[in-house]
Amino acid sequence: MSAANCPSCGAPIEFAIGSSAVVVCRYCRSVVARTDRGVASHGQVAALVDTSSPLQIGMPGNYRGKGFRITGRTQLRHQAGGVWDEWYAAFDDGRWGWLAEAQGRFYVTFKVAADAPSLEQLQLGGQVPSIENLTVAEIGEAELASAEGELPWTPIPGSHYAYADLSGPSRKFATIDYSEETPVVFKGNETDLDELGIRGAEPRKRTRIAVTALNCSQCGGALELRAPDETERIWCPYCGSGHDVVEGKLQFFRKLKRQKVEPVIPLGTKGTVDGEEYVVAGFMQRAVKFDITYYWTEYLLYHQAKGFRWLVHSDDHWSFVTPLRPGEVTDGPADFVAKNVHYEGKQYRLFQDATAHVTFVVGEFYWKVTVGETVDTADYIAPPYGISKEVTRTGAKEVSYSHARYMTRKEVETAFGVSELPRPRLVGPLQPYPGPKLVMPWLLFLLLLIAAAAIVGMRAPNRVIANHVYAIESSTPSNGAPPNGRLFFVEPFHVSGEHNIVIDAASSLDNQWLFVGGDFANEATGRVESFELPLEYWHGVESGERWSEGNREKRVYIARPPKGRYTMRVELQWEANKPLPPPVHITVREGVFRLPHFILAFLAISLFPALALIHQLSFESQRWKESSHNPFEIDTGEYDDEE
Amino acid sequence: MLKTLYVLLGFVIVGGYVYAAVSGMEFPRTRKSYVTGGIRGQHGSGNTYWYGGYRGGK
Repeated sequence: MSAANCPSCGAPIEFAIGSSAVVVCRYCRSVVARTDRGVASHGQVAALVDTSSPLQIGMPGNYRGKGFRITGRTQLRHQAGGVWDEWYAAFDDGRWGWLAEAQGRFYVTFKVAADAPSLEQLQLGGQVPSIENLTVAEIGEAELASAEGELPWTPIPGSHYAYADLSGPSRKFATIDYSEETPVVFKGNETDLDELGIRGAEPRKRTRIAVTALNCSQCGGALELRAPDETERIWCPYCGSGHDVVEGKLQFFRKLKRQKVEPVIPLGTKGTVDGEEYVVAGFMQRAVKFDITYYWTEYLLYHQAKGFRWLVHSDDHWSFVTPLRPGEVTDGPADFVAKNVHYEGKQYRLFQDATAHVTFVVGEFYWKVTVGETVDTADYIAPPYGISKEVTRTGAKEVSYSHARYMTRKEVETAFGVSELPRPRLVGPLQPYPGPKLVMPWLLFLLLLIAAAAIVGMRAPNRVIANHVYAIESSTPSNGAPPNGRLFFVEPFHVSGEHNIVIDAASSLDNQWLFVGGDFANEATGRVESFELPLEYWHGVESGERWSEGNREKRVYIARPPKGRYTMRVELQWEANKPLPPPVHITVREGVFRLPHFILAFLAISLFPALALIHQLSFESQRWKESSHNPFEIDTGEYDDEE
Repeated sequence: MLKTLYVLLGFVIVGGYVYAAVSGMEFPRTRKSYVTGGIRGQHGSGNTYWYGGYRGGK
């Protein structure tokens, strides 16, 4: 530790860390640096903006087994207007760690020796191979606004420098600092106070609680700040005047032309979603223009611990939207609109991409939103979920993602205590199919049916119980049969009474027919089942081509007959005054596997899933009608040839 | 609700298939009757030559 006096005001200053470069005088805010000949002032920094941070200089902590102490901080101004804190932590092992804090999130990073692409080479939304393939989430310029405590480098008040924030899976985070000739890489993770092991950190202080009730500078209307620590701009609901919130005071920004859009859920309404209570802090209308202009509205919800969420209302459909870290979504560079993105192993399909602009705004917002603000958007869907990608190209270039979950009208009514929200008329992009999803049960039943059929087939004995060949001779017919007919009786045979019966008749006919009529008779009961098996086979050559028709074999099935002795009466007929037909082969079997039974059962289990599938396809077709990437639309190439 | 109904129906169909297959059920393609005088006195079905004979063929 070394002590000195501030060269500007003479107040005592102290360098507690051996590796620190400067100390900011707590009395006159001079940046005091160590030199060979003592200390020197490098100018004064502005007063700190109260960010109500739970961190303070001097706080000890322990990150992943390494102890540290917070020694100083800088405050940096974002291009969008807000400020964020960067805290400097001197670790016990001699390293310096950077603790960035923005919108309630903490990021801990350490300087690493990694190659970084030049600013020109950086691609928003692209991945940086030399830094663990992290995704470039933001490219911007920061202004050093203020500082305090002991720092490892010399801050120059008012200096600007370019930076890029990178994001990856598992909350990985990195920053590339372009303030020096060679870019410097800081790599680490998003973290929280528990993981930082910071003792004595209180929950975010509500020091600006006094500003929660203010009056509009233009109309005097009462304005209520519901997220006073994070609000950057508030729009008066009475006169449409916008005010920046600076240091607890309202600074008039501009007044909107009155184009009143009434929120169906009033500002200030509290609602519970997923067990957490949110308050409606802001409301905006946005639009995209295709052949016509499509409008939708968004409600900014605020939760003290969770931060901001969105409730999106489009075509009377609702969705609850949560911001994501860009590195959590697998996507291409921001300039490229991919057909699909992936999040948590799920694929989302491109539904719409356009440039959206703000058309109306009221209430408070965590950024300096104004009417006319534009972002490039791409919406991906996997109902009931969706991923929204927004690319900001003005000011700090930023790609941001959010995850949407469909909410029914009833859910919104219950959550926010409102009633009679309009019913949607069209199918919403995220609306889940309301009908039954029968594919899985159908597959299970199909497997069950196949297994049952396999068992039935293996158990079927397919046993021959009678097998006879009848040769037709030219002798005089008996039993009163005509010259072109014969009558036979099959020798009695035994039927088990456990299975079905199949009777086959076959004859090698040649341009002739043979009618086989039969009676399958139980000798004991006299029960008869009559059947007919007309055989015919014709063939020839016509116009040089061979043809044939008819069947030389026929089959008939008999349902399981009672057990007992059976016989068969078989009667044959053929065309009169024609040659005698060849011998006929009659076979009787029992226990034969029946494919038609299986097919009938298959059709029966498939009927409802097929109808549901047709209904679902119709539903999906309606959903995608509103998309400019409609997979149901057949590309006719009608305009391809137009110059 | 509809899914539950379908699951119930599916079990009925698969169960019905197993029952029909194991018990040897068939679609009705034969005509059943009783003969009191034994099969040798039977005149057969309507296409037998006792009733005018088969009129099919080409």
